[in-house]
Amino acid sequence: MSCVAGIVIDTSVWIDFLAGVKIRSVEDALANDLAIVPPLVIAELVTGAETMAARQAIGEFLQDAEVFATPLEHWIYVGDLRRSLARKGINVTVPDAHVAQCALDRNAVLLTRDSIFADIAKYTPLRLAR
Amino acid sequence: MATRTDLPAEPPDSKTVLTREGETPEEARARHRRFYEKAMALRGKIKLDIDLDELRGRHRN
Repeated sequence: MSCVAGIVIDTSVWIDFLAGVKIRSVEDALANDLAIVPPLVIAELVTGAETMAARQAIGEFLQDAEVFATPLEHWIYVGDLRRSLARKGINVTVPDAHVAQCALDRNAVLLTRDSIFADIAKYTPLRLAR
Repeated sequence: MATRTDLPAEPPDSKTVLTREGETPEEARARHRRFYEKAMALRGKIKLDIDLDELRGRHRN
C-alpha cells in the first residue's frame, strides 16, 4: 500500500479517545502529523461538551487541528457520492457523506467506529481503519 | 471488508506536511506537535454527550 496522505478522524473515534480509550491509530496519526479533522466533526465535538470547562478545553484543543478545507468542489462531490450510493441502495446523510468525502478528497484513511462507513467503502475507494 | 485494525506501516512522506494557508512546514509541524500534546493531555478527561445518529440525521433516512 502507498503512503497515506492523511488520517481523517471521525467523531465516533474522538468520543472514545477523549473518554480515555487508548487508540493507537489516533496516537500514530497525531504523532506523525497526519491527523485531519472535518469541519463537521469540530462542530459535533463542541456540541457534545457537557460543561463550560469541557467546552473551553475542546475549543483550545481544536485551535491547532488540521481542519479539512471544504471548497465548492467538495460539496459537489458530497452530492455526487450520495447520488451514486443511493443508486446502489445505500442511503447516507449529508453529514456522513461529507466525512467520507473528506477522506476521499485527500486520498486519506478514515478512522471511524461507525458501521455506515463500511457500507460506503463497499462501493467507493474509501479506506477505513479503527 | 475495507476496515483494518492498523494503519499502513509506511512512514508518512516528510515532504508533504499538512499546512494551513501562509504557514511554513516548520510552523505546521510545531502546530501539529501542539495538537498531539493537547490531545494526549485531554485523553480521559472529556466525556462527550453525543448521539451521532441524531446529530447526523440518520433517523430521517
